[in-house]
Amino acid sequence: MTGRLRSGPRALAAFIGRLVGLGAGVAVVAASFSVPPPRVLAAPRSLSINPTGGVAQLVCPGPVLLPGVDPSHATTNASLAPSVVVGTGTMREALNTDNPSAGRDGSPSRVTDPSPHAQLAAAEITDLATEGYRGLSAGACFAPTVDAWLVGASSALGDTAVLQLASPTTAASVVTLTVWGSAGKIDASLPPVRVPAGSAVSLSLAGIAPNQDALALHVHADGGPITAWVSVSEISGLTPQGIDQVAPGAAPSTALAIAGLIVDASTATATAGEAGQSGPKLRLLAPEAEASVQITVRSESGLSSSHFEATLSAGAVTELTLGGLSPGSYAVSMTASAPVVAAAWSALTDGAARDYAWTAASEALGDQAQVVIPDHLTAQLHVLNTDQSVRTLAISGRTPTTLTLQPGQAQSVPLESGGWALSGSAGMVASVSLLRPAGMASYPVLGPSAAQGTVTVYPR
Amino acid sequence: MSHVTAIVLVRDGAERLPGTLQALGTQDRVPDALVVVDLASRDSSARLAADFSPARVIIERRDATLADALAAVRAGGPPAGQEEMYWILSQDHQPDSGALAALLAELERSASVAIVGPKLIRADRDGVIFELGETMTRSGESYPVVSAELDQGQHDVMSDVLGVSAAGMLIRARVYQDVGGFNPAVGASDAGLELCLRARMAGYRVVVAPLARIIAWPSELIGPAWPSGYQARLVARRRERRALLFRRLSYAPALWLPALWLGLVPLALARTLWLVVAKAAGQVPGEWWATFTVALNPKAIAAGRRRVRQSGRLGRAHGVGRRAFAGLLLNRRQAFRARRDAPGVRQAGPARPDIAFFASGGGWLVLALAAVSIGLSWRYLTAAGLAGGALGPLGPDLWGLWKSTLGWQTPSGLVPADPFSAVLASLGTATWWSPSYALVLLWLLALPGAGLVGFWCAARFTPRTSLRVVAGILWALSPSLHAALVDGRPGGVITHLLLPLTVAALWSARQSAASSARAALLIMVVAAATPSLLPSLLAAWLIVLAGSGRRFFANLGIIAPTITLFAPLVIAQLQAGRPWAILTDPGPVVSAPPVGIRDLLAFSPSSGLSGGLSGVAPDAWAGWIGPGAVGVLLVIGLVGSLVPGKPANWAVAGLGLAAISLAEARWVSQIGFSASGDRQAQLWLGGLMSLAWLGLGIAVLVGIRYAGRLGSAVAVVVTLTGVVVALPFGYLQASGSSAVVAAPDRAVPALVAAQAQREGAIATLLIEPQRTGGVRVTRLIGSLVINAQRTALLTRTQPSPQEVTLATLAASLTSLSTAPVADALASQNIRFVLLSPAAPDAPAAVETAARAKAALATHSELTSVGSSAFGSLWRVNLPLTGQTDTDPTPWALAIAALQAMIIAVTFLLALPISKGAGAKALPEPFNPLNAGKTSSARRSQTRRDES
Repeated sequence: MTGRLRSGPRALAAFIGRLVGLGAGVAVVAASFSVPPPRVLAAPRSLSINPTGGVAQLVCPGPVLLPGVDPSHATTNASLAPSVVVGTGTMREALNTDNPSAGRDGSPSRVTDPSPHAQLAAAEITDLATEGYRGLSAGACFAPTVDAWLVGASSALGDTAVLQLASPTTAASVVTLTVWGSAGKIDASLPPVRVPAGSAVSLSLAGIAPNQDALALHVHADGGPITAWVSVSEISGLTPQGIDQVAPGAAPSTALAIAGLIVDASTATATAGEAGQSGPKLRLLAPEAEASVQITVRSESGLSSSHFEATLSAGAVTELTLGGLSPGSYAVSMTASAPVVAAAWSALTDGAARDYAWTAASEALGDQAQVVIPDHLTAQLHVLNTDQSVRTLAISGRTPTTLTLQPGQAQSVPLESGGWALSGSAGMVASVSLLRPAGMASYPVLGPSAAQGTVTVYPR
Repeated sequence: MSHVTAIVLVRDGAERLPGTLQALGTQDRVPDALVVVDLASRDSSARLAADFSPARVIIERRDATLADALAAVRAGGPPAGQEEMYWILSQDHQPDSGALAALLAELERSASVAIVGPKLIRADRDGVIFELGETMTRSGESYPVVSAELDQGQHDVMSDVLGVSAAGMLIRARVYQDVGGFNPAVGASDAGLELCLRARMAGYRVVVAPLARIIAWPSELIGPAWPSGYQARLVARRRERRALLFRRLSYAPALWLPALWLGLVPLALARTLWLVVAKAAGQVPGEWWATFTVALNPKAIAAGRRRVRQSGRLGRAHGVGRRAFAGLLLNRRQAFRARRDAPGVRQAGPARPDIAFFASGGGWLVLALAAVSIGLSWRYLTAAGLAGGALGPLGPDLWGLWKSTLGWQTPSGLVPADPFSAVLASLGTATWWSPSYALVLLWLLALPGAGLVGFWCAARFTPRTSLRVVAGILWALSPSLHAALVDGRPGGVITHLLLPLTVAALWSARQSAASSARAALLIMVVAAATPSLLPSLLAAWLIVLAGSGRRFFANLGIIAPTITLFAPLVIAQLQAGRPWAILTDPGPVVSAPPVGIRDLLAFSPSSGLSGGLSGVAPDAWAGWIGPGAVGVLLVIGLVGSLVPGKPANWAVAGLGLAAISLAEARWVSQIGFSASGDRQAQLWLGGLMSLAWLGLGIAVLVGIRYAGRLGSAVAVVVTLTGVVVALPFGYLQASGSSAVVAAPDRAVPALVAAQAQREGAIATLLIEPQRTGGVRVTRLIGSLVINAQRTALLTRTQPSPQEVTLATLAASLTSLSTAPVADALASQNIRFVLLSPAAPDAPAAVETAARAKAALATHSELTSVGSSAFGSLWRVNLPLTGQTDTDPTPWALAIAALQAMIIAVTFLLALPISKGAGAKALPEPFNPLNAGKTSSARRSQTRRDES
């Protein structure tokens, strides 16, 4: 049968027929490829849901912890003075802790408000005046998170730093610590820290990263979320140099802002170059990649504004002294070429007594925010408008007031004790500074938790 | 002396009655009396009969039986001293001149002979014996002793038989009365045998007189059935069956009777099944008709038994045992031969080349491809399951597999299962100990399987080894197969493996019932695996239908299983106003990068071809390697389509198929109907591409065939070209860059799987962070398996109230919020909340996962159970109040039962069966056109026509 040749008109007709068939095929393909095909795709179906209700719980840090101060528990971190929680929550329950003096001084606690429209705000104040330790400390109460960045603390001689981790939820946490010093990341090859559910554990940073004069930490929790603080204190010889609780600040970012850097007359330096022992400082870390940072320090009075630039090598904690600032309140804005974390440090002296405060870069606020102010202390609310437009901030409480801020402008307003509500605060960074003679402290006004706000849900 | 009364039954027999009567008149031994029994003829039969002045008896009933006719005749007696004999004939039986003399000689020679039968010769085929003597098996199935043989005198020495047909039978009148006469309950075709049995029991002999020739036309009055139409043949068959049952009940010992009677219906059931297997489903209604007419007619049974008893008594009086005729029964082997050689049995179609699998290189081909397959997919060798693309675990167990094929009751209506879930369930059942492993096997065997399929299909059309092997290689190297393997498309792999078989089955469906059934099943599976092929499959079916001729109605049913399986989905989608969504690929939604023109021109349904090529070749021309390789094949195909000779038509048809499929693929390349999470699906083009590749392959084979001596060189070029298009995918697979990865056989933590196994009805809320920063929320019943995916849900455009509830619940759970969640968790029966890990390369997803994790832990209703590769798991500490909604509803079960029945029947029809083992064939049709030709001559002519 192979290739049986036929001649004549029939074979020719068959051949032409095949040619026509092939031509039709080519035409079909050409036609379909010459026009763009129709595009009909099912759109992903999502619902944007903003859950009702506010923050369900905050966790307060408890008293400032100091390593080995109790002679009977020399290896245990303990507290020396009770702390006071101020806040709006209706229920408060203490977490289990390893602090042997927790019975007297208190422990980390969980503040909850089961009402559907709860607006929680709380802070915890420690006022310490013993022979060895002296100062004022304020710790903000935070919603539990998975990641916390803590910039502050030192393990140099005379300095103590105790990291406190609390797992307030029903899930136990396994916490991974990453510690950076001025020479770079500290490879402590730490085993993960297990924090049982509803408990707090503390560990001295001196044991993890000894003799580091500048520390920064990243805390990551697997399992349940955590809250983290570092209690710090300083002694020079036998003279107490102050206490504080370092609060978590903004996650690494290329744009950071710090509101409420207090430069006290007692520690202000006249010239820019002078690195005074107690002059204000900025601590920065670029955890991943080398970054060049543009820094603007602007006074709240609006009279002075200075810019400078720094280059951070990757993984090395860098401190910059902020010389040449006249006494007053300042706001610091930073833009960086790679994500950085930052906090500011300032101190005041009163004769021999000294105290200091860490103010971390914090996340921008949402449109609504809550502030709580303790009694018996001079409190200032510091606000920095990081937005590109003029903003009006309404502060309502016992004596309502309104602030109008230009883009990049910082202002402050004294507040009486009690709860205050901010509205119109979107895009602002705010903190509260507390002052008393020979004592200073600072805590941030919390923005919306990363775990709040609208969720996009795909129902299938 | 004998006195022969010829009894001629007439009903509307004007056409042949004169001839018959004339033949009686010209007998060498003329009958002494002629009685024409007129069964109320409506034509001129009565007048015609009158011309021969017989003693005419008129019975005013058209449905009168032989027994009635003889009862009417017996009134007159013979002259004294003469023995009365009846010669039973009808208008359709025209004896040769020596017939009566030959018959009578047998009776006169031996007093023990009571009945003599003639040799019936077919009127439509000169010289072919229609029937000579009758016999039956032990179970009562009757067969002619000789039939459909050219009469060359080879049977002229035959004598004793079990029975003879009533047509042309000469019987002693005394014996007729002694044994009780014809049984009116037995149909015309079996009356003779039945009477003979009783005569045998009574101790008489029944013989044939082969020299007595009677020309027989098809007759409804007496004698074996020989009807012309299919329906009429079915009627004849069912009468035969009724006679058999009746015979069985009549002859059985009294002790057995109740059991036999009660067994009638179970027997009919069993035979129904058997008839379907034996491709004789048409006989099923007749089987039941016969069963009920026999079972519900006790009077006839009683009358039959009375006659048998009467004959038995007579036999004992003659000293004959009950089973006087046992030696004349057919044994099993004889019955098998009788069935196989029966004239009605269809002979094989046109001769096919021998497959000779090993001799022509098929074994080596499959072996080599298996080695390549292991080289490419060694990563899966030890896997318990596969994941990636549309792959995932199957199961979790057999019950779960099959339950997922049922409709699923929701408050908003029945959600039909995808037809593919039944395919997956069948696959999973094959590896029942671990259903997910079936997919691993599918992946490992795909390559050798495709080679085998290509080889086998080519072997049905060509005897040439090289063509067969090239076909196997081409099919195994198809880009659509490799794209399906790399992109994780189980439906695509199954479609590619079955497509050539489907085409081959459709091709043979024009001739064979089993092929029709096979085509029906294959079309169903292919359509289920790749619904976007539905239009092409329907078109193929219509083309086959148009060319079916006599088998038109049989082939109409090819589409029935597909319709049955798709009906629930089609109805649901039509009700929802989304008719095109029927084409949606089943299984998890896969969002693939758009397929470019160059990929399409290389017959690749995925961008993996150019993607893989860019790994091995410079970017600038990587995209053109695929289309270039296909161009080489196209040139060979074009040569094949322009050469002289018939095969070129095949090549043209193949290239046409390729062109149409390619154009269709391009047209639908950016169409999709389903979405899940932030992913939008596009139709999988693999099915169309396999079809296009099939067309191209046919043309290429014709081209190689034409190349003659150059053939082997061209075959090598074709093979190398195939390697070029498959290589990029092979590179992706071997280098581990394929989307498919080895995975455990479950996609939820062991705790959830165990709990689901134990509690059954519990639900798990699965929260999956998406790349867009949103979360996808799914309520899993039991475990996460791909066979439970439903396109009817995935193509919906509006969320159902339940979905809104779940979305709100998920939003509250993943937020630090005081919004209440307890009610929703309890009412949705949610026992676990599982937060999947986020893709590490998607920052938004990582952020969302962190948020969800922090928030989930703050809900006092939840207790963290731990984390695993599947994500973080929380247990809900609430008493669950929800409905267990996993029990299938009666509706869903009824639909599934109907589907299963139709598929099972098709499956039984598709089973191959040897000819002799099958059901007894229908009587051979009477075909006046073939008059004068022998059956073997006719067969050889048919063969010539078909080739």
